[in-house]
Order: sequence, then C-alpha cells, then structure tokens
Amino acid sequence: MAEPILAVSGLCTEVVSDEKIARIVRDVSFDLYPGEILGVVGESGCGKSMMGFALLNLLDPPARVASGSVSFAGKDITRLPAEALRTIRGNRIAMIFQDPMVSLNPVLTIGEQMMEAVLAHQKVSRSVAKARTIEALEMVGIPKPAERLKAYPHEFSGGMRQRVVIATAFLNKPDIIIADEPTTALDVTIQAQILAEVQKMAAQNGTAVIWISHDMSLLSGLADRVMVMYAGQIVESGSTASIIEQPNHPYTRALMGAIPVPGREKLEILRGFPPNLLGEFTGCAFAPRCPLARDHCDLERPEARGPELTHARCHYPLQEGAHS
Amino acid sequence: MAAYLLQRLIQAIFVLLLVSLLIFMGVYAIGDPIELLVSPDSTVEDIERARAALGLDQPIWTQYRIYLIGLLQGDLGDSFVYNQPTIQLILQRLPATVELGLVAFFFALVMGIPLGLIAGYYADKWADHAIMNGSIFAFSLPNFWQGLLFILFFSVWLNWLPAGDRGEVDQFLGVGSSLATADGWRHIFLPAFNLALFNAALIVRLTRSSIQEVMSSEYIRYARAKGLSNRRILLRHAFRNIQIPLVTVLGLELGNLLAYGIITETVFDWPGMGQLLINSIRLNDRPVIVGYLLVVVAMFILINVVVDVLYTLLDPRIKISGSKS
Repeated sequence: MAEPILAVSGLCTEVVSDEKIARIVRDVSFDLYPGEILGVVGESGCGKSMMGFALLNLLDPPARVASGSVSFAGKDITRLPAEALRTIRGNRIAMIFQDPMVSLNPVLTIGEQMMEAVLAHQKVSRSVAKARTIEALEMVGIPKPAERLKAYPHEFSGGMRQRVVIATAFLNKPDIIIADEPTTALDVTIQAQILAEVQKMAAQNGTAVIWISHDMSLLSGLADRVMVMYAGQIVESGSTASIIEQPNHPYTRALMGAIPVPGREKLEILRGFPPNLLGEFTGCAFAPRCPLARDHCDLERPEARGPELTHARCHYPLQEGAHS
Repeated sequence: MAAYLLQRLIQAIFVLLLVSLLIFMGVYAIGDPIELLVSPDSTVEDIERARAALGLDQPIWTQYRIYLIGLLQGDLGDSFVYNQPTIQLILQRLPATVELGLVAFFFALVMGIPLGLIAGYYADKWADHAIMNGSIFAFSLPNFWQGLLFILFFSVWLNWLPAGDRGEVDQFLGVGSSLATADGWRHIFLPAFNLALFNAALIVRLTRSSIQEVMSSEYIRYARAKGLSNRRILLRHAFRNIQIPLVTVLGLELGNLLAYGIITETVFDWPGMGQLLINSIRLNDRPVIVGYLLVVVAMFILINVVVDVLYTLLDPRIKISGSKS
C-alpha cells in the first residue's frame, strides 16, 4: 500500500476543569491512506467527535491535545504554528461539522460563507470562487444553487444547511475530509446521494475520508475500514467486512447486535453506559458491561495487538476461542 | 415598514402626551413660581396681576388644557422668566448640545469598539487586563472630577486647549456649528472627550463580553476549520454578530449624551441645553422644563425607531411588521 496521508500516533486529549482531568481520547493510533474511507463508530460520549477536532487541532480550552502526534505531509499538526495550520484547515483537510443548525453563521449569506473558504486558500477571482461554489452546491443536490447564494442560513432547512456544509468541504478538493456524523439530519435519499458523492471523490481524487458515525449499518455500505471506539480507546479495527462478519471485540458484537435487520427477532440491548473518563481504568474499560467478562478483565488492561491494531483490545477475543 | 412607522408615530404621540401631563403636574406640585419671578418689594396687587398674566390664577386642569391646546398647535408656551417662546430658547441652545453629544458619541465609538474587540479577542491576556483596568477608571471616577483634571492638565498646565466655552461658529451642514471652524474643534475637544470616556468604558465592556461569548460559538469554530484568517473571523464573523446588542446600547447612550450632558456642560461652561434646564428648574420655569423634556423624549423615541430599523439591516432573521408591538 502507498504511504499514509495521515499518521496518528498515541493521540491523547484531555479536558481540565476544577483540577479534575477528564481523559477523553486515550492513546489513539492509526494510519489513513489516500482514497480510503475510514469509519469511526461508537456510542455517544466515547470520544469520536473530540478525536475528529483534535486531528485539525481545533480543540478550545479547557480541552486540549495532551500528547501524541498527527502527522500530515511530514508535519505534526498538533505542533504547527498558527499560519501553517490555517493553510491546511479547510484546504488540505476539510471538516464537516455535526450540527448544521449551529455551524453556519446566522448573519452572513450562504454564498459568502462558501466563497470565503475558497478565497482564504486560493488566489482566484471572486467569480471563479462563485462558480466553484455553485458547482459544489449542485454536487450535493441543492436545486437552483446560483439563486440560493444570497440566502441566509435561517431560510434553509436543517438538511439543506448540512448539504451546504458538506459542499463547503468539497470546495478546495482536500486530501482529507473529516466528517462528524454529517448525515444524521438528512433524508435517506439525500443521504444516499451524499454518500455516493463522497465515494466518488475518494475514488476519483484520492480523497481520504474519516467518517465518524454511531450508525454501523451506514458505515457497512460506505467505509473500507472501520475503527470501533469505546471510552476514548480504539477497541477494534479492521476491514469493514471482517468487522461485520467476524467481530473480535464483544463491544463490536454488541453494536452489531443492536442493528435491526430482517430476520432478527429481537434486538440485543447493551445495558449500561460508557464509563466515567475522569480516572484510570484498572482493567478493561468495557468489562462492567461485557457479557463475557471474567475476573481477569477487571484486573489487567488489555493491550492493543499488532502495530495498527488489527486485532481487538480484549483479553478474550471472540474469534480466538483457543486463546486465553 | 410604513405600517410599522405609523404605529410607532401613534405610540410616540401617546408617550409625549403622558410625559407632558406627568411633568406639568410634577412641576405644579413643586410650588408657585410667582414668588421667584416678582421683585421682593412688589405689592399684593402686582403679584396678583403677574399671576393672572401668566395664567397661574386658573385651576391646574384649565392651565393644562390651555397648554395642551398650544402644544397641539406646536406652541410650547412662553418662558415665565425670559418672556420668550420656549421653542426659541431651546432651539438657540440645541445645536451646541447636539454637536457636543455627537462628537462625544463619535469619540466613544472609536475608542470603545476597537479596545473592546482587542480585550475580547485576547481575553485574559495582558492587553485585556490593561484595557479592562483602564475602563474601571473611566467609569468609576466622577465625571465632573475627570473634567476638572482635564482642564488642569491640558488648559492650565500645558495650555494646549481652551478650558471652556464654545468656539467660533460657522455654517456647517446648513446649521450654525462650531464644528466648521478649527477654533470650534479646539473648544469642543476636551468636553467631548470628557463626556465620551464613561460611555467608551461601557462600550469596551459590552464589546468584550459579547465578543467572548460569540468566539466560543460553534460557527466560529467552523470558520476556523475552514482556515479563515483570524482577522476575518474576528471582524467579519464575530463582530457582525455582536452588532445587535451593541446598537441597542449605543442608541441608549446617544440619547443620554444628547440629553444629559449637563455636568460636562457646566464644568466646561458649554452654552447648551443643560444650563438652560438647570436655570429653569431653579426658577421653576414650567414651560421651559416641560418643553425641554418633551424634546428629549422625542429624541429618545426617534433614536429607538432608528435602532429598530437598524436591527433589520443587521440581522436577516428580524423582520419589522406593523402588527407586533
């Protein structure tokens, strides 16, 4: 395989408040290759979104990157000076935010907010920026885009706004798009159209995509590779097919079991909530909720296996019944 | 829009009527002005004659009715003291007060907004602390005392600027104003600066807190994710969003500057409406007091309408309609 476009190593983030430190992302490492669509899945509050922001160094105090590196084109994004970082953001690495109702500025027009993303990075005339903006809006299925440039966000529905945010990410033909649950607010038909556009961009331009979602069934049709996050850690990663057909980690299996599919009589419900992230775990973070946990799971932390975590972070992986 | 303006006009008339009634009654309750107006050696007959000449022998309701009839014809009555039409007295002094208020407002804006933006953007850095501590001085030291210090520094010790009075007056935008002459500017600088300081400090604090709030919003984070420059994020994305609260407060401040520059006018011997009001209250000159306050209320109403219209220009989500009150 080619050189990775993004290499994340030992990334940790924390939120400091009242002398308490919540460690939200814990020692996340992975490589991302050009043209690859990498799905990140997990429950709410397991650190997916914060990991996404950390990749662009977009955390605001009291949240911060505590350690680790995010290397892109030979530079560590977590240590880059402000101006160098600015030229990467929205240009080489674009991000699609989760909530379209609050991510657009309410008092500026859609056209201005999209065109500025072009003009911030490229020395082109306003008319060129405008033409590109219209083209990007067409790609995400906004009817009569040229007429909508003068509209304000409140004149658009939530789904339309999210398509604007998605189109903005396409504007500069970035190397990487980080998408944080971007299609949650959309109709399935529009969602399908957007997923098709993303796949096309990945295939034609070699754009790498990190698609954060809680929806395993959506990722199964989109992603080449899936990382499962729990309590700030990657507990399992692998090709989408292997994750779906042969999950190794009991948490992955629990996520799969909660998807309604034809023929499944009864959904398996995973009880409880992800753990408090203030302290250190003495054993496996998932052990309190794990149906297969043994005594040993509470005592020793399972280590990631393999350099790129192709195996599960579990003492007793499901596919290795012989292993103990 | 037209319906809205008509509605505001009708409201304004009611407000002015109510204000005129309240002040008229209030001033009547203070006491009989005739004692202050006649010379001490007048006979009882002289006093009665003067009282009848001013209409003060009538019952209060009759007096108010007569005043109201005059008011509806645009007549604010004659001053008891100066024996001139009130409107003439006010118009003589209005330009001086308005020009002082506007220049002070301008000073407050050009000092307050940039400093507030800097303080808000660099929150909790040294620049923020320096600006915020400075603003505490500006709004907590008494205004008249600041004015006296300015006179001491710039007029007495340094001898740079005159200590008081209005400068030469020339035609400026069709009215006689001291802003048309260099001498006028030399005279207006200190009083306007004095008047502006307190308001600038308020603008600094409002701008700072609004900017801080907006800078933590999601669309600012998104603007950063797009790789926009800090300058554009602050001046276009953030500043554009704080203009609504800013305009609200600026409208009130402009009204205050125009109506209540009395202390500064007194310290700098500025021949504006403030002095007229003080003298009128001292002599219980009812037509001037009521007339002055009606003019002030009308200015406030006008400023509020302008602020409302500005809202619709600043925030595309706000639409003016005649139906909402």
